Amino acid sequence: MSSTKLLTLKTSDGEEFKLDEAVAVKSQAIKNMVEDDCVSNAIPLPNVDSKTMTKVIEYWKKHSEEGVSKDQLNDFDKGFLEVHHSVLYDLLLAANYLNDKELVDVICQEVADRIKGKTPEEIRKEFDIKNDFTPEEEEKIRQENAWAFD
Amino acid sequence: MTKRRRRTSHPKRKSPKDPKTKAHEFGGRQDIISNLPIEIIRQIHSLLPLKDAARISILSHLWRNIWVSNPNIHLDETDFGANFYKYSDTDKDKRDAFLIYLQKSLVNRHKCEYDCAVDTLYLRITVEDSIDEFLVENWIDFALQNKVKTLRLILRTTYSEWFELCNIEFIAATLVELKLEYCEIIDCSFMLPSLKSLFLDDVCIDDDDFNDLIAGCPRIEKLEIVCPATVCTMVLSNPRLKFFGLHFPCCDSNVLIESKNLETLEFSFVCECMCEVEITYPTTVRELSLQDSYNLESTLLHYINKFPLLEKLVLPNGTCSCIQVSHQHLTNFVVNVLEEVEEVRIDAPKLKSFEYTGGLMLFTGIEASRELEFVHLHLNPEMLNDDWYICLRDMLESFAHSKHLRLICKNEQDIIFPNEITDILLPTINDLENLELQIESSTATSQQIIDGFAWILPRLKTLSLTLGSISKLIEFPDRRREGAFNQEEKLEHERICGE
Repeated sequence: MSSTKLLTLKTSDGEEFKLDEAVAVKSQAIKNMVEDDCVSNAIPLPNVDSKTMTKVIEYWKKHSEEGVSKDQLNDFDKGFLEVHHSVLYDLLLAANYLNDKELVDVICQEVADRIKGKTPEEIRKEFDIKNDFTPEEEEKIRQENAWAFD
Repeated sequence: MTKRRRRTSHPKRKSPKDPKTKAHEFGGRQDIISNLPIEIIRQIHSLLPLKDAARISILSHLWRNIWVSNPNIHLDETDFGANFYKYSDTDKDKRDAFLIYLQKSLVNRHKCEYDCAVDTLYLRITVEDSIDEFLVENWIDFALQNKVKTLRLILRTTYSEWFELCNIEFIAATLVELKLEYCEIIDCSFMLPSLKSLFLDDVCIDDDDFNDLIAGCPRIEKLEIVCPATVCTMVLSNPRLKFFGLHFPCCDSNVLIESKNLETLEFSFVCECMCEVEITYPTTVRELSLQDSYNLESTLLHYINKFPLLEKLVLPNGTCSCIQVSHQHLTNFVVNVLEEVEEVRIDAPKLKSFEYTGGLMLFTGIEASRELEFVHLHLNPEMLNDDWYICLRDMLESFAHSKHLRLICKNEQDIIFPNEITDILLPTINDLENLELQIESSTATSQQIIDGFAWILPRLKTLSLTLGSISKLIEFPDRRREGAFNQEEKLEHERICGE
């Protein structure tokens, strides 16, 4: 095993997280900073709060563990993503900011899975999406895409 | 990288005071998913099945714009219920609905306020009235003018044998992949400087148009032609051409490939006479794949000797009883399910990797390939009888000298020698020291599998056993003695290492 170096990450609300470099470089953004050698002090992450960072680190750690089978990881992911969509939103923004493509992909898939098979009304309710169409506009779109609404 | 466009690119949203919004219904909760960066919304959108993606265009203006400006455009009459492959005029109203949809979508795209760059256009349609050809051509033009990268056109008509693409200017600096099916190309012009991959399936094109097409894609790397109709002579000299596939050509075609970097060839010849394929620089060819050959033996012989530096050979179904492969440089050999073939004779001293999919097969000569490293045998025994297990034993012995021998089967029954056979004194295989077993699904325990199998391999040192998706490495103690080994000792050893 290579020597483990600890990195310090500082979130928007001032909390500091210490993390193995080997785990933190799941974030391409952090990896770039490591390679550019600007990680001597704490790495500031002004766009991520501590609550979200805790969850992200939980994900990174589980996905860096040795001896975890694919089935176990799938179970972990399922539980990890069983959260309110506002949490998913924060996670998604954080993963995007940190440039962790794997995590972005996983969360996007979860959001897509929550949309699949639902009627527009159900989706609006679940995600609190505001309808800004007039009834006439809505009817026009429904007709145009009638094949999708059967 | 999406950081620079995070929130600033968000489109203007209606203010909460606007009478069209229904904020009170949701108790003023935040519609935050719609606040995500556009690229992420597009990514979520791209993961949805087509109908869901179309349905959510009704959620709000934002989501409708995302749908209308979706860079991946999939227009398929089968989504409207029409059967493309079996035409019936009972599908007429479905096709009419599809045409209206095609029309409206194109209009919406022209009106869309978002960036309308197209990544992919997929269009599959059976045109019933020649007047609708314009709509198809308008879609093609739209794609070509909007930076399309991948274009797939599967076009048919009810009134002619092929859909005529006549006088179309295929001019696009961004097009990387082009796939045409069932069309006829007449007097079109081609300027596709970025095209890497071209696939013509049942396309009617004469020699002149074909030459124009080939000349119009100077950077082409992959060319695949299936059932070419009417093109008789093909001369290919594009310098970056690496892959050429020709399937089911008509008898009197001639192909000359002068490209200096050709690496892979794929052929399917099913008529009695072969189409003549000449390769000016055969020393660059590394991979040959013969699929569905009428006369496999002579085709194989004809081609294998042409390519002195061939490394990989892939063979399909054949209709001869013995396949002979003799090549001094071949390092990879892949053989798939040879019905009627009983024996494969291999003379390939440099062979490093061998992959076989099938049932009973006799392999001779492979013991002489001493550099053999990776052997993958995908076993599909047609019948589990004595013949199978005797053959299995022989197969294992032939490949015992390879560094990594892997047996892949659906069920443990394929490889566990039944008790009756052990009474027939099937000789053990003494050279096999390392083995990998991969079993898709099994009702037996690992111990049962090991017991039923390892007795025939008295010198086995390591066994990697994968059941489903779980792998175990089992090490065996040094057992140089004859006869039954000590069960207890072996179990103890397994518990200590590898489990």
